[in-house]
Amino acid sequence: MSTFRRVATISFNATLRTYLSGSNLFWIVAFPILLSFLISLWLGSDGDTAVSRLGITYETPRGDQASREFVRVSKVFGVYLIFCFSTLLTRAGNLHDERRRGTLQRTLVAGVPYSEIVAAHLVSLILVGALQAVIVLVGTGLLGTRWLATGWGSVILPVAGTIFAASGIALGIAGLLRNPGIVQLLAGGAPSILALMGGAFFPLDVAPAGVQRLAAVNPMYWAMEALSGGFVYSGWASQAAPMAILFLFGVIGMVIGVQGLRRFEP
Amino acid sequence: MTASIRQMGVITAHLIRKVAFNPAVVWLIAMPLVIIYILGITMHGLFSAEFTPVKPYRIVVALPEEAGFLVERISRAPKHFAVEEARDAQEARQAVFQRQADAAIVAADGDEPLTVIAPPGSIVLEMLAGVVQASLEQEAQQVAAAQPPVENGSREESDTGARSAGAADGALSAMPWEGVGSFEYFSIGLIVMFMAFASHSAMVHCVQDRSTGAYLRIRALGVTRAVYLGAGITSGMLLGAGFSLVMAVITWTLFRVVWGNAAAWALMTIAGAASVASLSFLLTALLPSDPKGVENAGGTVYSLLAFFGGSTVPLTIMPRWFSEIFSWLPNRKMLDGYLKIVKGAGVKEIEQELFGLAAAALIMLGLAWLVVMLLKREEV
Amino acid sequence: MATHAAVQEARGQAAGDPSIVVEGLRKSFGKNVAVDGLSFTVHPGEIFGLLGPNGAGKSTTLSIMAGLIRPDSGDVKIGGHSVIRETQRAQRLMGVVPQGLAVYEELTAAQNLDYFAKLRGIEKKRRRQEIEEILELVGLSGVAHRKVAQYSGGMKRRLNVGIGLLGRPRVLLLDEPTVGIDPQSRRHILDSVRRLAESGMAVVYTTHYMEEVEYLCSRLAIIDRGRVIAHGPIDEVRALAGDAVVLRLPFPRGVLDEAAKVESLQNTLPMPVEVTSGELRIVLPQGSRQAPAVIEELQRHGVPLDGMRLESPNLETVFLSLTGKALRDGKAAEEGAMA
Ligand SMILES: Nc1ncnc2c1ncn2[C@@H]1O[C@H](COP(=O)(O)OP(=O)(O)O)[C@@H](O)[C@H]1O
Ligand SMILES: [Mg+2]
Repeated sequence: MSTFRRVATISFNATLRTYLSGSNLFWIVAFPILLSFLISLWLGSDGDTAVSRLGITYETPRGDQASREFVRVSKVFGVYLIFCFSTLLTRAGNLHDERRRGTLQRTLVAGVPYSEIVAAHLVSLILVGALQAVIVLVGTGLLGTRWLATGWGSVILPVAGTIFAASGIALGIAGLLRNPGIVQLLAGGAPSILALMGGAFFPLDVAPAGVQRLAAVNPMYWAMEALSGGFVYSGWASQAAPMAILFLFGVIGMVIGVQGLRRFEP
Repeated sequence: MTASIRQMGVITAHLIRKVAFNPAVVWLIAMPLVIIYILGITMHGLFSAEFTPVKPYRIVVALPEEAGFLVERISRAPKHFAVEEARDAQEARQAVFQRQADAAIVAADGDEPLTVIAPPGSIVLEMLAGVVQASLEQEAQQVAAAQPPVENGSREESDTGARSAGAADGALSAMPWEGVGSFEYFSIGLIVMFMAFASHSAMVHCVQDRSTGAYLRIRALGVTRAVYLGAGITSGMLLGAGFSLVMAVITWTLFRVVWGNAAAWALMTIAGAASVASLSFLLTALLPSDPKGVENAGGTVYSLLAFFGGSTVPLTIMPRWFSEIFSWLPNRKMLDGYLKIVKGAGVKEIEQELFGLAAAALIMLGLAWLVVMLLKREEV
Repeated sequence: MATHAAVQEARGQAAGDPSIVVEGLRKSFGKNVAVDGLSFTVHPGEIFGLLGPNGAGKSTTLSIMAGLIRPDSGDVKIGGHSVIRETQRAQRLMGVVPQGLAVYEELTAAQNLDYFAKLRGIEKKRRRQEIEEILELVGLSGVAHRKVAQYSGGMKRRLNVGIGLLGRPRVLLLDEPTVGIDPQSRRHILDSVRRLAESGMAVVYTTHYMEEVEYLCSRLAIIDRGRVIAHGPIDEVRALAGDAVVLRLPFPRGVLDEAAKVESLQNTLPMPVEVTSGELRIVLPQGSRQAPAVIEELQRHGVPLDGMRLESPNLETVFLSLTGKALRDGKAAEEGAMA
């Protein structure tokens, strides 16, 4: 059996099992949609401050009406960011879980090299992330969020960058920590704080200079930048830099993860 | 009777000991402190009346001579705006588009005299719009004073504009968070949120006992179910109140939060603890024999309540109608009450919140009892 | 029983080259020596028993044999391939049944088997057939499409064994596969293992139940704290106890001065005295003729003699007389009583 086939089998199994648990289904799928819906309700009222008044016209940097949707879309995207990170960080413990259960050892005895198991684990993180993104984006889209107002690229790039970065970071966490309680705590608490500090729910202008500088090492800040680059500014050109940084986050996380997991090799 | 009370006391003490001497208690205290600190610093600007950006916003203008008053007006706030002139509207637009400037004001081609270009939803747009509008109104009034007969339309429009702005100001001063700093706000918000977790941990231990058989052992000693449940609720209440007390002292030491009238605070804390304990009891009644499930349900419910009740996402950034439809939540009542107390309210001013919480506690206890009765199996 | 062992032995010798060769295994975790110089061989068709109390080093030995842990020294050859130098080739020849329940509870038995079969590289057509055979063998055909989470402990154990049989391995390593299950499931597993050996598999079976070794194995090693204390064909090992018999006596807990009594007995009697889960055990190295003296001593201590009996030599007697302690600690003994 080829490496490719084995990695595919393992990652498919891990992904399938993720979705077989009722509580996972709730947390990964239903809850994010529900919450995003409530958020978009919340935003129903404000959002468009920019109606013409008193002889003033308001224009977005791109100059089109569609990019006004950014106000609403960005808040829902913020909620999505929280769920993407908390889902993938939770799944980061999966490999240690398998070690505790003994299924990891069993897989090794079946003749699968450890490196392939780690690779499959990463692929499964990305798959779970991608599946969640599709479900949440379609779900909230049907509930009224106009994701595609300014075209596919505005949304797909930031979402893909987020999934890649979050998967890498999750793998990195798995390489550093193996205590399930601590990983769980991190997955529950860190994403909302990162979102608030990354400007997902209110503009970072109100934060002091130190917090604004800290945003540079916050993947969620760059995800928001990639989104605004697509919706408000020049599209591809302004998305390139934040995308590159998100990619870097993912790669650094993966390197740390692979190195760290090697320590735990049976 | 006295035997029951003594038994209840013993079980309550046991449950409290189990929670308080568990290493997890460190997280219960450290987590909210870290979050208070982070949110307090991050949202400092949202809670102070005067907002000044870290660096002045770069505003590019391309305006005809007649609009000189506008440029002059904007330049009067150098801490907020740094004004640059562009050759033409095209260049100004490009500057914003290329993100070399934060916003631009250009003369429009159509009948409207001005176009403001800025990212939607941004603070620079809010501020600039405010200033531009105000100075246009002022200019219009001056023109009107010099030349009495002008078109009625714009006059009216400026009036309504002024009125609605005034109305908004008046409403703002009545807002519960008005005059409270970010550290005070989030100390209150997170204590309210984590009080529920603290209280809940007593109930989680009760359910754990049930699943390990320790409960049966206790029942076999002649403890009735009511006594056991009573002990669970009592220890939940005491843990909630104790948590609140400990956190009040810590936040006072670390963040200088002044907690105001002691009697009002104590009453608020007791009423709040009663409401969280009864909510926890209700959750437990629904999932009687699954400790992990009870713990997770608590996590979900309390996080949601914290979200909608203004603990984690502050009321300041919620639209008013949204915060109003959730004002009946018990944790929101607690938040409102503590906010009032911090602002100097006595017992009299928080009566409404106290009654609300007491009513909530009674309703949830009643519901929980109903559930317990309905789900009652062979157990006596 | 004896004939079964004899048949196995005959089969083993006839088959020529051993399937498993373990040579001088040594492994320590920090200062704790888990395996201390273990060697044995197993021929095709033979069931080799590794008997020892908890913490003896059985699981560590099996993990080394499965290529999951590097030994500090020594080597294991499976079908002539070293698990250290040709790990994956050796692994392809063996099936492993770990001590823990290494199954996915959220999947069905069929899904579990299918997954590990794929990873072993068994092609589609053979996979189906083999999974059916295994389900039949472990008696789970009827519930193959139910989630494992709904299984009883015994069913989970049987699935755990079944997964180890995928790929028709020549060598099967079982690590306490019957811990904490009902008698039927236990019987089922023991009989399956026997049948597999009859079909020519070489089996290593670890346990702390001496009855299982007596029932299954032709040869065994008894280990304690990583060290081999007895090794060889089962009859030879049994004979190591010599004339020794064990005097067993119910010794109810809650007798006021129990601890003091035991201590005093241990001081006065020249032989090992042990108390486990309400039973007093005294090894009589020279056989039953020592009994009267001991009984007298017991009476002198005021120990009630109801239910006293003498036990003829068996593996447990061997262990007790060689180490001075019971094969099962209190907890394990309780588990055994439940099973
Ligand atoms: N990964 C490990 N790290 C440290 N010590 C271990 C590890 N695995 C086993 N041990 C120790 O090695 C000894 C033998 O353990 P084990 O092989 O599990 O015994 P058994 O399976 O016979 O009960 C025990 O003292 C155990 O504590
Ligand atoms: Mg073991």
